[in-house]
Amino acid sequence: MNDQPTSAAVYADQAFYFIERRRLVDAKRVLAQALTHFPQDPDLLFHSAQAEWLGDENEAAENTVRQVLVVDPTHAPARQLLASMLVERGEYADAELLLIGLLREYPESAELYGRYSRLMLRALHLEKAEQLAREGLRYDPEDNECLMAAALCETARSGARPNAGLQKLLVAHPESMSSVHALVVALVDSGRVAEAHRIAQGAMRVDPANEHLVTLVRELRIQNHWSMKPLWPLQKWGWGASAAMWLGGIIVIRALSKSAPELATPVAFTWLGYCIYSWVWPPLIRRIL
Amino acid sequence: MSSDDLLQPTLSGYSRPPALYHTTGFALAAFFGGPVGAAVYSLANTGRLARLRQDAPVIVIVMALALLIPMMLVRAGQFDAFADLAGMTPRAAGGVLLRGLGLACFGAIYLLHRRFFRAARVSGVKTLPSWLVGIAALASGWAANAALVNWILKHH
Repeated sequence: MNDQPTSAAVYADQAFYFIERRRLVDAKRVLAQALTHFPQDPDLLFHSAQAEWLGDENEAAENTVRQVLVVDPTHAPARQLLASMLVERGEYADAELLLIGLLREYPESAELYGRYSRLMLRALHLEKAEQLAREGLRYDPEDNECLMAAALCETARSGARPNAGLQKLLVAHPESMSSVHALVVALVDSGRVAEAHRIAQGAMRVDPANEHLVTLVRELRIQNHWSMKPLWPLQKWGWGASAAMWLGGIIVIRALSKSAPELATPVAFTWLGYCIYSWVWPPLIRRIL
Repeated sequence: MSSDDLLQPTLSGYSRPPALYHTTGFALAAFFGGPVGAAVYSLANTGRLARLRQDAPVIVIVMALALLIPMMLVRAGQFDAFADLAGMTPRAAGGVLLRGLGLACFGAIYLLHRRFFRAARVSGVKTLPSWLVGIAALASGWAANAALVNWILKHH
């Protein structure tokens, strides 16, 4: 009895099953076999592009996705994937045109509004990003992409202050990777690195194959390392802390040189050592760990 | 903005995608280049954000106000008192004052652009390499600081 799938749709379902679970080798094996039988099937080609894209074969992925669009120029998932590729390459204007084209065809797709909003945020157009996320949430108040975009916009605008957008995202999608990402970004932005590290570690245990999470956990591990603890004021208050450190250092050392000259030199050397430590150690530890 | 306005392309008008130069470079340019260094660096950032028309007047006003402070101290005959208070020679006091004012300009302009810096951070956008802008800001800032300190020394 032959147990090979007999239609392109069955092959596509199998491939998607593997792609969802990041079993890219299995997905590619199924797709290679399927494409020998159905070489022009747009869904099979699209899944091939997806597998290549997730495997960081960006050039091959783009060639394949363009092949899909030759076979079926209206293939919406392929156009979305191409938009993601263009964003990654920094070709924001072309990605924007693709997303606008999709939105004109699917004007009530909250997910597309969310994607467009994320692109606008990346292009530093915060106001439009916020409006797009709001518009998308009118069509689907629980859409993951829009809630994520809204939460990131609010983090960008309000920093460490309470973030209603993030709370909505966490309530609607507590299990989603987007929620984890937005939460970690917000925590890091408000200087709460240890909490961000714990949450990202938990997420990585659930999805250990996610390279983005692995990179994130590695970076947070570095920021949370004991040798980085002395730098926490700079991590928490950023440039405000640097400016205060410089001005405060100059004023304190000057004052000490007048009132307690014997203390001025050791304090000046300690302060200078701390400044040098804050410049040299963070890049060095990234190489070591 | 209506739903139809939202679907008008925004990025087609850019010759280069909007981006920001490195914040560390900005702080260093402001510290070593004083108010002029901070202004030159932030104008480059503003150019990359395509917001020159909105932000350039604010940046120029912030820089002018910062440069007015030492001039007003001199005119009011208070500069020597400031140098005495700081326990420095007038030349060194002028240098420190301009560095402090440079950092103040950095703070004010950073607040103006804070949402863009944050948007870049939360969306994972990499900052642009800032060597050329930093060198231009440092060179112009250093020249302006030297000229202002010389003016202070002549008139204090």
